Amino acid sequence: MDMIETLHENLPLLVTMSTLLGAYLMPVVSRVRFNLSGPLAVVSVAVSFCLSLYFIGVTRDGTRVYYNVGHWPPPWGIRIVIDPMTAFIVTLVSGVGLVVLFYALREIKESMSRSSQGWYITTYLLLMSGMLGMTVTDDLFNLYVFIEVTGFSAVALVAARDDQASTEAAFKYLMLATLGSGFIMAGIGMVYVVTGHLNMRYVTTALITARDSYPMLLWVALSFFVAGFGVKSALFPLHVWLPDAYSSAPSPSSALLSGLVSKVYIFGLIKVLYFCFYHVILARYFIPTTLTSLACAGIIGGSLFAMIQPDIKRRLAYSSVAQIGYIYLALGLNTRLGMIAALFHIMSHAIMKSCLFMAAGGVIYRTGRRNIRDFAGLGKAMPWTMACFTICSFSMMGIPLLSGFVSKWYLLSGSLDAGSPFMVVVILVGSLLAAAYLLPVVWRAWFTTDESGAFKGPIKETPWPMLVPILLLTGATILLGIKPALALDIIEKAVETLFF
Amino acid sequence: MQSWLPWVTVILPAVSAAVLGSLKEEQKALRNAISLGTALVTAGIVLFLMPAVIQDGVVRTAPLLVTPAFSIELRVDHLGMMFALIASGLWVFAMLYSIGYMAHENGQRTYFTFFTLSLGVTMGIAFAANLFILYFFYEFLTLTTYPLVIHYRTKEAMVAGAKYIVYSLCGATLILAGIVLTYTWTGSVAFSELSILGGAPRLAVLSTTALALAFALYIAGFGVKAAIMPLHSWLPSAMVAPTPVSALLHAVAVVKAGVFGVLRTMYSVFGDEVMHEMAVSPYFVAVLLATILAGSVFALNQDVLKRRLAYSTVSQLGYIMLGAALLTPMGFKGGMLHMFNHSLMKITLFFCAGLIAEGTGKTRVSELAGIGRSMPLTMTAFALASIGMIGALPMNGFWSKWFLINGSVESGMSAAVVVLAVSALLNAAYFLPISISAFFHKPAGVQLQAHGPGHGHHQGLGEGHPAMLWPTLALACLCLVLGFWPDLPVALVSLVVQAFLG
Repeated sequence: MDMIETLHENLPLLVTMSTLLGAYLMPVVSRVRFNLSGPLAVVSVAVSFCLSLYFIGVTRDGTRVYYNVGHWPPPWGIRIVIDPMTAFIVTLVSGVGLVVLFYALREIKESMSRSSQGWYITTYLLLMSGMLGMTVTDDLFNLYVFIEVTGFSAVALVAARDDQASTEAAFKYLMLATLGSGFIMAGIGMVYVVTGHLNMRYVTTALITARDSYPMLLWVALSFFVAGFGVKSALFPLHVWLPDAYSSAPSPSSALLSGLVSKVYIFGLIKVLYFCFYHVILARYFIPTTLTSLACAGIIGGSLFAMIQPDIKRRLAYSSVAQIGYIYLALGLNTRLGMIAALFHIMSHAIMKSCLFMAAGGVIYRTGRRNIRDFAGLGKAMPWTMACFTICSFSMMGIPLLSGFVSKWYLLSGSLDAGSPFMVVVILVGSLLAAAYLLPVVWRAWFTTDESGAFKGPIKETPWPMLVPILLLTGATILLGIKPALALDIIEKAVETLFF
Repeated sequence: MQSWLPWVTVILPAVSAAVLGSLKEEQKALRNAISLGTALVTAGIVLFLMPAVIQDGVVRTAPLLVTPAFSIELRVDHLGMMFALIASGLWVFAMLYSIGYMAHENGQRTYFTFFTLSLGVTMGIAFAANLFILYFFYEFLTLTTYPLVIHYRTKEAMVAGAKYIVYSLCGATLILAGIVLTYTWTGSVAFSELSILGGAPRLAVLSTTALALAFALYIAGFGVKAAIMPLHSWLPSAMVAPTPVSALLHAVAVVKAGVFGVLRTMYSVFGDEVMHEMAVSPYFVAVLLATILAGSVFALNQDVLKRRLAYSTVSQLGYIMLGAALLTPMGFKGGMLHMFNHSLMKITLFFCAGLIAEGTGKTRVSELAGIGRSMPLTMTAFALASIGMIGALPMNGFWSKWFLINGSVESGMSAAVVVLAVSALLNAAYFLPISISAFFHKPAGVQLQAHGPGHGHHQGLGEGHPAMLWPTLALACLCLVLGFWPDLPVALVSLVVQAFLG
């Protein structure tokens, strides 16, 4: 009885801890009993996922769950807060992470040695714990710690293939990510100097009085946060590490990085901007306008760069830059509708992009080729993979009855609501450009045949353990397109308290 | 009245298409049977729904609520019924014709799969209950008709296909902009007896300029498929498609879907009163008159028969939209009736062009001298349909012209009357010579070479494949019959007009 009560009390901690524990145990397990490493990884992520679903149920009426780590009360102890928005993101992260894990477990079997596989899974779990920790924490320094955990794990996942391109890309990512962390650290330092607190809720309270005394310092702090999180989440023009990193990483890493990691950093920025500071303060400074301007540039720039890439993974990488631009555009609107759009697109893009990267990965796995031209005739050889690729491409283009359309709709409504027809044009042009860089691939797969004879022997469909995750995420895209209320309910609840 | 039947018209073709896609290329008989059967059943269901619509005014399906503003449902009103009747009815003829035309071609599996699928998508457009559903099926129509346009896979076909997609996607983007504006202003996108913008309480800040901008977005968006100049150039290029595709899709389904979209915009989104308030009609009518004239002028220059027919279509679609833009009952009646009549006549003309190409390999007007001797039935049908296009008795085309001219006079647009008259003369100039030369001139030597891929199977004498000939003749006869007894179409059209203009 006592044990169960304790467990129940400590559930918020378990969300992060389960993956962290898995990561701690994994090096031993993969050495001693390799066959258990996959199941252990799955169990640790699945536990987080089930817990996050539970928390969605708990918070869907607006309740917040507070938990003090080690039972030390704030402001000196670290507190975990699970409110509707946190529960939403945690579910997204653990859910997509779980699905991609199945894909990863199968994919790395062929491309890495056993010991490397063990380290890969360990790093994967560390990354998951970092992301989950970032999401649930209410303490700025704890946020920084988990940002670093996430950052290093992400870099390691990029370098996992141990060839020259990956190492170079990982190094670039490491340099820029560290720069970003430095900015975030400086920002946190400034906030601490001004308010004397590190706990986000305490900071908010303190800022009510402090904001008039230190306007310039706060502006600098906010800019540092935007720069720091911006580098890590590939806000244009700080995105330069992204194309190399996503394209040279192994496919499961690309899926995870583009789908989740960048989004969690954006969520970190949301936490700082809206849970520490709030939209009234933000409106005083140039921050929202900066965000929207850079976002518009990112949407157009990213899409244009994507159009000229012959390598499918680089194409998808630049596409991510553009799509992250959409999210920042919605954030920069600094309105309720904008925040709803941002959160929905975080979810929608995470699902679509992970699925696209996994599908591309499946093609590369079977054919060893990454050039767009080599997609010729794949519709016949790998119908399921290409069907999912097609559906997710349609979703990226914003075709109705798919989740991408719902995101686009809210983005457009939000822009009109904020009175900016220019942004409406940018969003619509962005969708057309998305068609321009995705449709040719789809077309080539279904409407051309492979004439070069480059592939010796028949091409088989993606193996089932890798195909099922792709199918699941495609199904999610369709489901969220026809019944977006599934997500919108909790998103609307989440946004309720932010704008007043 | 509530029914789930409208969904069947959308889902059955989709299911059939899935089945057709899984058949092997050799299973011809089964494929033909499934395709034809699907078209017949769909047309049957539409006919079945007709009395209910005439009586109750609308047939709805149970809505599947997605968000408070948006539900997945179908709604069959008079306008939708009209479009669905034209499309599904002619699809049966076109399917029969396709069976004959494609008999010796490659790629039949892809062809019939997407031909059938496009039927379901067109029904979805006709029966859409709100702007979202309309937009979805509209975008989808582009995607499902694309494989049909590029069927022959020649360089020309691929270029035409790319042009088609680019034009259509840009158009769809403009429509989406319009839909977002509509929703932001009114909070609703659902079609009903009242128009969206007219029925809902509008924000005081809404100026006529803003409304006119939204109108322009919609018209430009739908205008791509409706081939309003200068957005029309995908249509002549798309004539590289097999003739049944050109006939049905690019003379009936796709372009009429564009026109349908324009009509929905004018009457279901904006509504009669708002249209009057905005006073954009004169500008819109000007654009349409230009389209009508320019289309006919370009048609004169075309030697390739199908391209001549394509430009003629561009011109004739202008007639339909002109009728609606006049905003009077008589004008609208003329426009709607012409939607019906033009579909019948144009599909007949295209079918004849296909018969000629299949029978003799000739695709150019300059080669058609004396062909009436070897293909008398085909050319008679061509001649009858041509007379209808010019708007002369005793063909059905006369009646729509009659109402249009009366409507123009009624609303005081003398420019429209002049343009209609000039266009009739131009129509005569580019249609009559073909029929006259076919019957009364000597054939220039005996050439029996095949032009284009896979044509000229029935070399030299004789009419074409019966599966191609009979639908053509039947349609030509129908045009003639409806010329004498226009009561049924006119009655149906009057119901539509009454529903929208009171």
